[in-house]
Amino acid sequence: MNDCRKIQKRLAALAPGEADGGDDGALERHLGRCPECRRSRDEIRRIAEGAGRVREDLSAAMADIDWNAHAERIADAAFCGPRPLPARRPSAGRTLFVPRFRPAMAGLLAGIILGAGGAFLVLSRRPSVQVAGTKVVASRDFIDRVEYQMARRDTLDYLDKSQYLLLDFVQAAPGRARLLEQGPDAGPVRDMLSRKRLINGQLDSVRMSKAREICNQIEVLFLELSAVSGELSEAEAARIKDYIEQKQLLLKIELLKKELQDNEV
Amino acid sequence: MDRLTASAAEAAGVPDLVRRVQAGDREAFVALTRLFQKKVFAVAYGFVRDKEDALDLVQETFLRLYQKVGTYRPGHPFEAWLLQIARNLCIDHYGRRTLKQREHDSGATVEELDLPDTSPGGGERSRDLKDVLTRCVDRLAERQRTIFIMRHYDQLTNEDIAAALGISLGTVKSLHFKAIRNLRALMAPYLGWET
Repeated sequence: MNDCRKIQKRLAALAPGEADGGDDGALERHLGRCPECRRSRDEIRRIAEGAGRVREDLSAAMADIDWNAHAERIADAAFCGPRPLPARRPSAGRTLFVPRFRPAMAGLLAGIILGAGGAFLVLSRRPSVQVAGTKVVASRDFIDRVEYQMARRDTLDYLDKSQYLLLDFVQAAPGRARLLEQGPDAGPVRDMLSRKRLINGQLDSVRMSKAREICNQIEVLFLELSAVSGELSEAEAARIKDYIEQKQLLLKIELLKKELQDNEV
Repeated sequence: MDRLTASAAEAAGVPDLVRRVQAGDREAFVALTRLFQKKVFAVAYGFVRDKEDALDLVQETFLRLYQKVGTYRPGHPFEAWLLQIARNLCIDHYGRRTLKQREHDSGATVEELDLPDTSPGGGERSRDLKDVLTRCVDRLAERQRTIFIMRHYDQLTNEDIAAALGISLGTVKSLHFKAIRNLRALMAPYLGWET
């Protein structure tokens, strides 16, 4: 059957008038033993015969036509009508699309598409943040950097003041430590506790974790001592100094300040 | 029917004639028309099978050529371009004629038209082979019909047809095979062939 399909394709492909298979021995042998393909050959031969009769009609129709006069009539009709469109010069853009440049143009187009797709993917992973109430749009990275700088400066300010108070307390002569006394003189302590509450949110970020730990120790110290009523006895003052030295609070504050200052942008 | 090969066309100075026509040279246009009008007529006659209609299509083809000659790109096969114009006009004409015929026949199918006797025993001899063939060619798909006409009526080679239609040689062969296969199926009832 597969042979028959090939034979019928070959029969159909033969030029008009050659549907008998010509001198192709293999084709003739197959036709000799296959009635189905012989029938196909006969039908194709009849089609070619019909086409031959159409060609005879065509030749007869062309025979009595005065072709020279016909060409003149066409020219008369053409030249009495509107002028033809001017000859078109190949533009630079059209020159780029000639077949020999098509592979290069296809490559260029593919590059543009891939580049645009890559840029879209990269940019779409950095979402922008729109600040409520304004039309300012900034990237998430920029917002993070601003928030870090604000936290850094507020923490430095808190550490500066804490260090000043603690140094003042530690260096005060026995009996003159007034830092944690109740009354109007205890104002700086309350102020420091308030400041600590303000910067708590900023200290929650991962980058400020070390600062948060030290600031929390300072806060604990201030909280415990702010609860002390009455004047601070010398024994209590000594215990507080021991606590400050034991925790190396002043050293830690100094080191942390230096680290935060080094990170200034 | 005289056939003009590409090399003969080159020898006849076709590119020069086209340039002169673009410049408005009437004599060059006449020469170009004389060179190709028989070939265009053969294509048109294959579609319409009427001498006067075919002559009208030849004239229309060369008028369209004259109007569009400014858009012709040098180096492009002129004959293929011209036959493409002719083929498009023939298809338009064929479409209009088919529409009119359908309106006239009130929707009658080809089987119901004035084809020769198809009753059993009528015999193939009682039927006009040419008439059956031409009517069945009309029923082929557009590209199959075009290729059959160019191959069998105009006796163009597959290579010439591929160049004229701007398609590959393989596509021409494939469409020609399908045209033959479909014609056999379409003609079978009228010629008593087994299906």
